[in-house]
Amino acid sequence: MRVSNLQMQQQGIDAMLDRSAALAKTQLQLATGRRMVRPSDDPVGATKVLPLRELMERIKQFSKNSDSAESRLSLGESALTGATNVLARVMELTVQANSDSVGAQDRISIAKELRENLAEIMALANTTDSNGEHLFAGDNVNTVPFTETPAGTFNYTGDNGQRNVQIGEDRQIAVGDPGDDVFMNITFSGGGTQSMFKTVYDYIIDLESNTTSAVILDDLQAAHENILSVRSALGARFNAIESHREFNDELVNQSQQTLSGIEDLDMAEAISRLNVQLLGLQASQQAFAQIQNLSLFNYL
Amino acid sequence: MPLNTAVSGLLAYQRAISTASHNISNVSTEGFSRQRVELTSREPQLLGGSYIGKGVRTSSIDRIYDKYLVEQVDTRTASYRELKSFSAMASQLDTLLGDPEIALGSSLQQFFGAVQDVSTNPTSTPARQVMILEGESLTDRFHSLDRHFEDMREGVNAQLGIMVKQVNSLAGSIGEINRDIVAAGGSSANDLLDHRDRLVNELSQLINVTNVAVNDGSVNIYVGTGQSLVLGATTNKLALSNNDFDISQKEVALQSGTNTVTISGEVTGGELGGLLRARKEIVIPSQNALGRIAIGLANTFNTQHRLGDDFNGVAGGDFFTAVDSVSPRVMPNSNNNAASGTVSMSITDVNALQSSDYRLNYDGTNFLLIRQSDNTLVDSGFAVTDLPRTVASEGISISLAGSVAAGDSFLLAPTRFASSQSGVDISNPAAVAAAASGTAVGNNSNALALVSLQTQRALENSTATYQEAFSEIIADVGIKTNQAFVNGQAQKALLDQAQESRNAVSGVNLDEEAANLLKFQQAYQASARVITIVDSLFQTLIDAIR
Repeated sequence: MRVSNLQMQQQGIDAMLDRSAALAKTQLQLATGRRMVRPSDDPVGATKVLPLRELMERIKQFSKNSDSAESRLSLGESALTGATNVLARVMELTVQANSDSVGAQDRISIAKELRENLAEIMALANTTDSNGEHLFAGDNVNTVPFTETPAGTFNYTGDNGQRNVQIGEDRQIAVGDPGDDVFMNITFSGGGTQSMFKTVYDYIIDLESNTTSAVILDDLQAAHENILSVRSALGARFNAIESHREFNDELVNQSQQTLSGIEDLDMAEAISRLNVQLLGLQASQQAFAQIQNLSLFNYL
Repeated sequence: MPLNTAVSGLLAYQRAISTASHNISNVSTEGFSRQRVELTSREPQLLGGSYIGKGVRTSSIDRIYDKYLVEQVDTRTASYRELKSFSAMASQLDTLLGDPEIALGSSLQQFFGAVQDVSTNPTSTPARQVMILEGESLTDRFHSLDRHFEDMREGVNAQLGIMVKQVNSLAGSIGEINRDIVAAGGSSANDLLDHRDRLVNELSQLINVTNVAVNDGSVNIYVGTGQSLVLGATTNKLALSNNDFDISQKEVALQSGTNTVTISGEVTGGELGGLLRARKEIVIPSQNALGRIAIGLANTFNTQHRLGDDFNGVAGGDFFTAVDSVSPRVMPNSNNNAASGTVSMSITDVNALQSSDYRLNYDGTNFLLIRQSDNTLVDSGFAVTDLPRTVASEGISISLAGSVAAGDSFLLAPTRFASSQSGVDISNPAAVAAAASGTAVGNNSNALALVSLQTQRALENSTATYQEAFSEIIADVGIKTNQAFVNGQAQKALLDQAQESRNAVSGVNLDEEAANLLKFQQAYQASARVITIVDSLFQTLIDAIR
């Protein structure tokens, strides 16, 4: 077949250009460490990458949510611990006050301390978090949940809402307990339920008039146990959050691995490909230079 | 006489050498066809019973040329350039969508992260403020993506304008050369013929043409499906016209005389064809698909938001601008009857919504509704009295105010303008409806429900989340870009092959020309020698007579 000079030249140039282009692509891959530089390099792979990335971002968010949940739960826990400690002191004092060796004057001083203790328990029940939300008010978080009208009546202005926080793809965890369940609805020896505040208040009034109570310890015990059970439920939630964190971490690891498998460049393969391409380019350049010199006119 | 014979040789070989020299000078000229001198013997003379040869003459200088091969190069050039131009636009979009700074994914994630923060801290004003800000950031992302699509549309318009001018200039030149070739006597003006071939090839780069040879030596050039661009020495012009429905979209039209006809649908091949195809198959569908996501997001999010109560216990309003209500648009054909009324469209079901424009035609009795993305007839046989008409499969409803006339047509664009009109409708953090209806301010159930929208498949007949819908756009553009690239390479190989074949016939080979030069030089020297010998014979004769 006849070959014109123009054709030979163009062929040689095209070959060099093609090899340069392939080399440039390999270079870009090596520089970015990515097998796919643009979606069109592997459209199907690109559609796998995006959901994986999104999943990892969501898990990061869940981790943030978990932190927030834990901090709220821990605040609740310390409030409840404080309450049980105060209750323990109250129970000590009632044992003391109930004993026959204590006189009216002593009973009045004990009553004074009991008043302080009652105020402290109420303050703990009205704990707020860093946002100013009351922990034990159900959903009515901007209103003080426990109030005392002067006549010794204790009211709960919260509701029974319980807030859930999303700590995983399909996992929500409760971060609060309605205050009435914790402090108000305590089984009462006189029948039905009564708030622990009223229980203590009534006893204080009794003490101030030099009266003791036989059932006060049972009622206080009931209150103590109630708070303890809420506290242990809180503890269980802590554990749930922790174990879900581990699960989330495992999910992130797996996703990262899958992502790496799709996106990352096989370095060894790319480098050996680079060497082959370099050699190819050099060869085509040398061939071009040598062929260009050949012409019959050199011999005329 | 031997002298004349020798002189004929000198003249012929002089011409041969100059032709070889012409070939050699043009070894690198693109599109040059080598020329060859055809030598034939002169008519012999009858002298004393025998025929005596009278030497040689140049019967013609032929252009070595194969019309079929040249046409093959032109056709394949048009195909290759079309793919290249399509590829350029597709890969522009491909790179854009693949850039995480620009694409939608990270914005969506950040917005829903902010919603999550509100669900964890529902009464926190800063958390609510951030949710509003991230919402605005997300809608800004829609805007900027849409801006890119609009830029691409405008880019197509501008480039079409430039190419139309180039086509006209080339067509004009071809017309002039036709005239010159006819004047020079048809098929003998070799270099003019080469020049015209080059012009036709340049034209093929811009648009696919058919060229038909005419007896007098000129060629006629046709574009599209037979519209004539050049007829002998007269040329028609291409021009830009406005799309019948949308004056912001330019189309290619042919002007013959006072008549201007839009031929965008008929034009194929070349860079022009590639641009038109890219606009139709990549830019418009992607812009519509993005709009569909904007509509889906606004609609589903607002619906859930309105189910909750805000910080002050007031029922939630729209969080995002209700682009599902405000952005569907109907564009009437500019040729519609002037007395016709207004057709409008609303979206009835974002889950069923497609990402396509629709053509609504009225024949005087019934309407036809054609989906533009795949040219499917989706509804027909309904009359004016059947309006408002809900087309459930497409999630839209059509209504009419006023009358329509036979022959009227309308372009319905349900999603195209949604991205540009996206926005956040609230600015007061208290207006975020995080609580379930009727609950107290610390409730976060509605916020949790809003969070769950991120993973809900609420689009495309319940098969896609917002992110998945966007991934589909990326994949679609990626696949088309890849295809165009692969096809382009295949077409380049075909084009190279065609050029190789053409050059094999018409291209100049220097070694060949060098050998020819030697041959002609020798022949010239021999003829010159003959003259010397004839001269000496004459001298001998003179000396003999003295």
